[in-house]
Amino acid sequence: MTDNIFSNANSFVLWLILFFGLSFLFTRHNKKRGKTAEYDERQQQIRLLSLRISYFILIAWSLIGMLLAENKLLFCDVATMFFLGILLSATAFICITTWKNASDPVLNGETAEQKSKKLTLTIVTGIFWVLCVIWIIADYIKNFEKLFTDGKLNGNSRLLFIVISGLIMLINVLIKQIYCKKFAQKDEED
Amino acid sequence: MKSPEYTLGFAAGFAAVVIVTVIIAMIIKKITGKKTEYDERQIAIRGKAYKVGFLAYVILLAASLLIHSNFELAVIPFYLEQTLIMLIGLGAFVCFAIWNDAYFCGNEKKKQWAIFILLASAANAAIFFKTRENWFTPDGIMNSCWSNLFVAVLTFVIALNAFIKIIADKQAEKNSKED
Repeated sequence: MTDNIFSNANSFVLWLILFFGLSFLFTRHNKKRGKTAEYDERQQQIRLLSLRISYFILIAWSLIGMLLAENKLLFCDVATMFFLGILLSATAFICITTWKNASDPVLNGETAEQKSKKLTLTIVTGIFWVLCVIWIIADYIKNFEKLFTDGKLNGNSRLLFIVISGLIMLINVLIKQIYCKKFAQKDEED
Repeated sequence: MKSPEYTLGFAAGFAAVVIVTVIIAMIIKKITGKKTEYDERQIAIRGKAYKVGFLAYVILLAASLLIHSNFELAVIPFYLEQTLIMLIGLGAFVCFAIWNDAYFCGNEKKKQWAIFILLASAANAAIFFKTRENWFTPDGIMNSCWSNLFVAVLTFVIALNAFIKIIADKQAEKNSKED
């Protein structure tokens, strides 16, 4: 498991293209059937603002990388450094939009039955994902030395970073849920 | 790890760049009368422009990731590569905003601004060509003076876009008056 599709940049980029390509085709297909994912004005504004923040994070990360490389303090290979920058900005974007209720669009043409199906699918996927995470982390602990080459993190560490990023997103959602419930409770009490 | 002298020099250089940038920004503001007051449409388009810049940045980073994994890039150092990617992202943002009327505010003097940017481009190009003996290190690696060329090309492209847009706007205005 430590040696995975993300270890090799070629397969990772191919996966990235496939992911974006499929989501683009899916959106187009939905549009044709009249199910366009539409964000309201507030959501759109927040999404653009989060994108701006992600952009600045990416620039800041690149600057940090430049400084570290110049001082020979880079803790991973260059490709992983680029990868981490992209991952960090994507995580920031998703966390901000989730926290500000701007990640879930108002889907036109979706029935209540479809919505309930979607929720069930999300829960099942979530549970499956958590199990995968436990398995991946256990495997990484077992093969810890495979993460490094000459004392620097190599391509094998990328999947671990994806898992950590996913965990951050999950924790973010959980905190948000708890916060919302507490807020609603307080409102009811008042 | 670099020597304390190097670190001190770096910190002094960084502080100097910040001070010079602030001074230049103040001068531009005075010359062009730029006040950052965008209307709602412009703010929305600037958001889209950030999206374009961000996507350009991410695509280039992914391309760079591919190149680094398959080839040994011995000519261009890491910091120069990062600078180039950053500048292209910035260029995409500015050009998109210019063409969608979201870069300048209503009271701004576009022509003066474009001339100023063109001068900045010329200055950077001059610095690059003046240091032609130092373009490469003895090992054949590109030197930091290349960043001047990158900035020169970027500012030239931005100025060119601004000029073409000014001409296109004037032409459109003329056509609408004739109609």
